[in-house]
Order: sequence, then structure tokens, then C-alpha cells
Amino acid sequence: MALFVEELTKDFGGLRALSGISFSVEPGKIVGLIGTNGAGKTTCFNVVTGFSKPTSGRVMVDGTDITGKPSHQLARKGVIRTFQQTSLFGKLTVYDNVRAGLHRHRGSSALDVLFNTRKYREDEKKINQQVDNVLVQLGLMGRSGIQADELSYGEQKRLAIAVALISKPKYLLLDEPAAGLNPQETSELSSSLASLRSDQFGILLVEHDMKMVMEICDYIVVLASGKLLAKGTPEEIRTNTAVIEAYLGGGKKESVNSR
Amino acid sequence: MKKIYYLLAVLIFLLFPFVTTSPYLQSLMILTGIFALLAFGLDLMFGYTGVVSFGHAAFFAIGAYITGILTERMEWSLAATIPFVIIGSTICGLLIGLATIRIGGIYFSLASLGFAEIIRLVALNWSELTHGPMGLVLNPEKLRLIGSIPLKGEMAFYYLVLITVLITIYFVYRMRKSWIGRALMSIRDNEPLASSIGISPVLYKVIIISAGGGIASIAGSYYGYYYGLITPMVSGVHYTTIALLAVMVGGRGTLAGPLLGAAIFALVPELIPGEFSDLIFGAILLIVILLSPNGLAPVLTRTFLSFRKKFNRVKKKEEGELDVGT
Ligand SMILES: Nc1ncnc2c1ncn2[C@@H]1O[C@H](COP(=O)(O)OP(=O)(O)OP(=O)(O)O)[C@@H](O)[C@H]1O
Ligand SMILES: [Mg+2]
Repeated sequence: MALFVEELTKDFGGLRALSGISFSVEPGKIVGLIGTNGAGKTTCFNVVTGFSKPTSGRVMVDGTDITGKPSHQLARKGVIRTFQQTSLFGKLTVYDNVRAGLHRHRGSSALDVLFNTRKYREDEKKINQQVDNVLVQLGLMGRSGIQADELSYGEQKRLAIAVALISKPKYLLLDEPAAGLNPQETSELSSSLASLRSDQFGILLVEHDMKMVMEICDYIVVLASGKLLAKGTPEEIRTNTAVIEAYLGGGKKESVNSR
Repeated sequence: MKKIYYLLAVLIFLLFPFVTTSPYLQSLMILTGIFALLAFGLDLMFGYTGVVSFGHAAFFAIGAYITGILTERMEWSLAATIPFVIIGSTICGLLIGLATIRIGGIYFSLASLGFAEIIRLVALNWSELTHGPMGLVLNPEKLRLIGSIPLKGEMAFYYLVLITVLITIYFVYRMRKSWIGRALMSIRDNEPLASSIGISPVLYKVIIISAGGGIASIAGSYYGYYYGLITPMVSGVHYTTIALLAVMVGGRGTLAGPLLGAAIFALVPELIPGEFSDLIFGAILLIVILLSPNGLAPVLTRTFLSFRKKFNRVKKKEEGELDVGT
């Protein structure tokens, strides 16, 4: 039971954005995927979640090869992602954004809807209950009637996670959930992600905030220009000379040891 | 509480033929209802799902011709032709949807325009079946609703159209608040996100094109049966334009919008006949879109709500209660 990425390669014209990347995410674990800007993290997400096709390599979910399948089919296997550019249903309310996330867990048919059967009404009640729970979990309870467009930036980021979370992922892929948040919001997010950790699902986390990554990840995969630079526990990564070299030598904004 | 207003509106429409027995006014109401069906069908695609069709009239024409041919050739009743109208339009909707939606939304928009033109050319040239430019003429003495029950006179048509519109509105009302509505609107607002949580944009778009086309084809069927003359014009840009304008002016993705818009565009040509009506159509669209980009329905709802609030406040004051400013 795991999400396996095997020898994944992706070319954009002459540019090799990913070259032979392999790693795995198991339920109950948080895996960090880090690397400097342009290292290929989002490309990796896109290929794994069916938004673009790999040049070669495979993606396996719980023993099934799902390479190149469209994203909605992957979602049905429990592979759910968020987007680096925060992505919501802008004209829908906060409440409906989250309810949309329950689409694949609906318990009523189209006929139930059109004839307003009891099955449908009870299912909606159950849905609303779950939505309330998730809204509380992510501190959005007071905002449920507001159009997603009109939320603050931080709230939008949290709503995007709520939408992903309620769809009951088995593997949740988060692309820079803390980008643009202030330090306090970041540490709040960090602790709510840590508290979300359960045997139900695994998380693949792309994040530039090293403090967060080091704190909550069980395992870290480091990319550099599309290649695998290092793999290991946070402690191993912190002391890995190649990683330190890449981060410090490249003069990038983050430092592995930043606290 | 809100239900009262819906019931009141339904009651007014039900009693309308008794309030005015003028066949002229009743015929305007029938036309409004037919346009409303056309517009509701389009709104499912455009207002809820974000799929733009420039060839909605194709489905209108399919409905009109299937009913016309089966009535004229086989002397079928209207009810007997309806299943074939729905089957015909669904097949066309599935075909054009599956062929184009995968490639991208704009391809469907363009293909739909071409599709309507193809239907028009087939109607024009397949004379044995359609009588070409002369069109199909139905004998008003022989029109039957079902079995041997005749369908004659404005009042009968009025109720037929009214019931169909009410059923359509009821289903749209159910649909928009459910997981179906959320799936459609999520595709409209953000396709990648929708698919990332398991909603298939292609599947829902194809279904909604067929459903929207199906409603339009029933509108076309009634239209042909009511006027008794079906020419290739029914697949022309005119009816697509009416549907698009009705949805945009009335308010896309709203319950009252398509009906409101249909009323406006059914009545305007009567008030301002001839060449000028197209000009007026354009002017109405411009003015409404400039003043209220989401159409008239949201404005009316807001006015109504604030009016009711004021009214309630006055009432409370009269009863000597404190107004706590709701
Ligand atoms: N659709 C595309 N077409 C061409 N090149 C692309 C495309 N998407 C990404 N790239 C290139 O692939 C490389 C990896 O980009 P990617 O977005 O995966 O990086 P990233 O690790 O997510 O970076 P960041 O931290 O800035 O988000 C970059 O050089 C980028 O320019
Ligand atoms: Mg990225």
C-alpha cells in the first residue's frame, strides 16, 4: 500500500525537467519534496496527478499502474493534489467549495436529486455535517457563506486544503501550502498538518519553508535541476553535504538549517 | 416562507387564461414559454457549466422537424413524437459533445455553430422529407395531444407549455442546490481543480449538452406543432440569439432569469415590429450588461428582498416592537 513513483522522466522540448526520479509515499507518513526554484517539484506533481504525461517512468497506486490516467480518475483512487497557485471555485461560497470536494463520496443518484428523495436529503445532511467538521478544523467556520473570491489570501490557502482534505485522500499532495503566509500562519498550518497525520493517508509536501519541512516530514526527497540529489530522514538531509552545497552554493533564498 | 412566493407565482400563471381570454395575449405567453424552455436548456450549458453554444437552434430544429415529420407523415399525436424528439436530440448532443469537448470548449462552440448550419442545409435540401424551403405544414384539424384527444386552441397549448416550463424549473431548482449543480458550477469556475477532486469535466459537459439540447428540442417540438409550419429557418441564428440574449439579459445561472429574458424577447418584437426589433435586442443587451453584468434576475431579487425588509420593519414598528436592525 503506497504511492510509488518509478524512474519518472519528463521532457519539455529540449529541457529535461525530471530525470529518473523514484520515491514512495506511504499512508501515515509525510514526505517532503524539496529543491530550489525550477527543480521540477510542480512538474513532478503534474505528472503524478495526471495533469501531464511522463516521457517515461511509471506511477503506481496501491499496486495499480495509473501512469498517464486523467486526473479525475486518479482522484477516484484517492490521489488528491492542491495547486501552487491557489485554486478555488471562485464564484461558489466557502461552504459549496468544500461540499464540491465530497463529490466522489456522494450517496445519492441524479434521480434521487431530481425527485428530492429521502435518500438524497439524508445524504445532504451527512455531507453538511462533514463540511462543518472540516471548516472547524481549518478555522473557516465563520466564513461559510462568503464567496471564495472574497476571502483573504491566508483563508484561500486554507480553503484549498479543506477542499482537498474533505475528498478523503489516500495520498495528499500539497504544493507549497505555506507560500505567502506570515510566520504565525505558517506555524499554525504546520501544526494542523502535523495533527492531520493519520494512518488513513500519506502526504507529499512541496514546501520552501525549511523549518516546516524539517519539523513535520518523516522523509525528505531533494531535487536539483530535475535530478534526485538526496533522499533521507530530516537529520540525514540536514547534514548532507550535497544538499548544503546546492542550497548555499546556489545562493537561494532558503537555507537547510534555517530555524 | 419563500415557498409562498413560488406558489403565488404558479397560481398567477395557472389562472392567467381566465384573467384574459384574449387569444393574442395567450399566444404571446405560449411563445414566452417556448423561448423560456429554449433558454433554460442553454442556461444549463452556459450559466451553470460554462459551455458556450452558438448553435443551440440546431436542437430546436431537431425537435420541430422530428415532430413535424412524424405528425405529417404518420399522423402521430404530439405525445407519441416526444420520445423520438428526446432520443434524436440526445444522440446529436452526445455525438457533437464527445467529438469536440475533449479538444476544448471553444471547439464545441464553433462546432455547434456549424452543426446548426448543417441541420439547416439538410432541412433545406432533403425535400422528400422536409419539403425544403416551403417547409412542413401541419393540418390544424388533425393535431392531437395523445391518443385521440385533440390539441386545439390557445388555452390547451398554454397549459401544455406552462406545465412543461414548471417541470423544467422544478428540476433546475432541485439540481442547482445538489451535488449535480455543484459539479457543474465547479467545472465552470475551475476545471483543473474540479478534475483534481474527481469530477470529470468531459463527462459532465457531454451530459449537460445532451440535457440542454433535449429541453431545447422539446421547445422546438411545441413550436412546430403550435405554429403548424416548420421551415429551415428554425435552425437559423435567430433562435440561438434569442436563447443567448434571454439567458444573459435575464440572468445566467438563476432560476427566474431565463423565463424573464424569454418574456422580454418574446414581447419586444410585438411592441416594436419590423426592422428595428434586432436593433432593440442589441440595445437591451448592452444596457442590461452595462448596468448589471449578471442580468436582471439578481437585481430584482435584491430589490424584492430590500422591499420586504422595509415592509417588515414598518410592520414591526406598528406593532410597537423594537427594530434591532436585522
Ligand atoms: N509546461 C512547461 N513547458 C515548458 N517548461 C516547463 C513547463 N513547466 C515547467 N517547465 C520547466 O520545468 C522546470 C521545472 O519547473 P517546476 O515548475 O516543476 O519547478 P518547481 O520545482 O515547482 O519550482 P518552484 O519552486 O519555482 O515552484 C523549470 O525549468 C520550468 O521552466
Ligand atoms: Mg512549483
